[in-house]
Amino acid sequence: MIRVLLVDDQPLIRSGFKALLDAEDDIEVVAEAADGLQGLQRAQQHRPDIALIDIQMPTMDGIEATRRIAADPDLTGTHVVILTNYGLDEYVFNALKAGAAGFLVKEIQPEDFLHAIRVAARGDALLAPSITRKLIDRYVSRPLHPNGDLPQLTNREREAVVLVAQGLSNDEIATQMVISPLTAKTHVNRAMMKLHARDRAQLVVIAYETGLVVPHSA
Amino acid sequence: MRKHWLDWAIAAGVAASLVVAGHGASPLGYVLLAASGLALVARRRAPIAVLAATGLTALGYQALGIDVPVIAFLFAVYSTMRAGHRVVTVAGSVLMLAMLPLAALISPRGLTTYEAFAQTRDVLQIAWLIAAAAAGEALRQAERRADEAERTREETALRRANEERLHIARELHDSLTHQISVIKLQAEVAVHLAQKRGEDVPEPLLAIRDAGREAARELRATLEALRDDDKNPPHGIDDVQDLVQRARSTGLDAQLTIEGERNDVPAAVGRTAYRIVQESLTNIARHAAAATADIHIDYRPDALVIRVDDDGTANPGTATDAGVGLLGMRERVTALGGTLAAAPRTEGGFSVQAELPVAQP
Repeated sequence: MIRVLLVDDQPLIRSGFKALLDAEDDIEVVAEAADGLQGLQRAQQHRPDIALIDIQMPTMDGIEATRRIAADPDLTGTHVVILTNYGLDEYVFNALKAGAAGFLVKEIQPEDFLHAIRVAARGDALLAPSITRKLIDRYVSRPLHPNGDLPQLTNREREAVVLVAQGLSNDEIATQMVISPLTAKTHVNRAMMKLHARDRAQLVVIAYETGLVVPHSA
Repeated sequence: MRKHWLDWAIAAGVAASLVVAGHGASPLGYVLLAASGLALVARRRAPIAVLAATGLTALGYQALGIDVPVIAFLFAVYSTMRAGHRVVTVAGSVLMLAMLPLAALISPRGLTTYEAFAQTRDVLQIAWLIAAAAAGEALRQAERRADEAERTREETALRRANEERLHIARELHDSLTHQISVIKLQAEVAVHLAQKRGEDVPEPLLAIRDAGREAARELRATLEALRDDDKNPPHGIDDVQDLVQRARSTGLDAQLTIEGERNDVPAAVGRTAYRIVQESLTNIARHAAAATADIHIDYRPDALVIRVDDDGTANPGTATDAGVGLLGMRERVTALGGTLAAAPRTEGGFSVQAELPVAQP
């Protein structure tokens, strides 16, 4: 059962998503909140698998709430998915940097939305890989360390990070690297641990910012 | 009206003082003295003609032997300078300084050359000449500065108004997006749940959902364009030259022509112009197999017009494929209240033309 927390200041948006999620057998909405602070408290109470968080909210916005959830050692099992009206913008980019696992545009179709929630809950693939990459391309202005090689990683881990940044899931990485899915997962998890990345999305941000992967426009 | 009256007063005053100073002159002498002063009436409308008239009449009465300073000519020097005719003023003054001794020499007073020059010094002091010219020039510059300040003020006001309009558009789209999101989401969920339960979905509900999807998509595109324009535009119309240069380096014979008086356009307009040229050149490089591209930017009083033509493979028979690039261009242009036309040209090749309105003071 995937346990979901809904955080949005518009009650009608919450009720819409709740109706959608509760109709699924394997998903359940465990709590709702109308702002970031309330969302953080509900997350601490319920420890959901997924926190669906809107960006613009009163009291505490979605980015700050994401940062606090990501920093809370009790909430390592909670994946934050950002809800946005607009898609690609710097708020979403900041949310990914703050530790969000991915983002969903509110105008997404119900089937795609439900699929994304399940993918995010598994945590082994990037949400909307091509859009995530485009977003990061656009907002990573310049690599902080041009061609930085992340010395703390082994060669295999580095290779795995590059594949994650290309949007591949663990199974796909295993095929690419000709290793077992379990080994692929280990490489990715070790890299995430060493780089203090909470999520695959953060791993992608780091890969771009260090210059391990170069934005297309450069 | 008041200025008109003042011009007459000055002309009459100068004429009177000349006539009084020249007492004992012949009738022709009085006529020339009076004419020299009265000519000043037209000094605003026809400063050069007045300069010539005052100079000739002065030479005339000097030649008749009337030893009266050439005051009217000084006024005329001031006026031509103020009107901005510097070269004419200097040439006229030098000519006058050269001719006055000659006029004095042929006068019936039988002066020696030395006396003629001495008299010239008395009737047209060089210091007075310079003072008159300097006064005219100073006033002209002061007026020009005032005009410029006025224009800058107007431009600032215009820019503010444009920014404010953008701001309002953004806020409006922002709040609309929230409401449309709710309508769309609720409709999506209702349809989804009904289908899941195997129920028939009412037609009106589907219509609401589809309209919601369309509205949300349009709003998002417009808002993205508006928000983009809000950020400090990294590229504006001045960067178009670079774009063209870059296209040339890839082997495309790209020419940039700029028409009309170059003036400041709002950032949003400049950015959109840049995007249109960028997108067009990209499309040409990708699809057109073109050898040349002509980029025209026309600054019209009320609009900025951008046209990009190529000589590629497109012809009137080929259907216009509204790719993502063209769609994006159209959205940006529409958001600014402009129009975009993109179609194959009758003579072959493709043409993109955008007209972006620029508000007038």
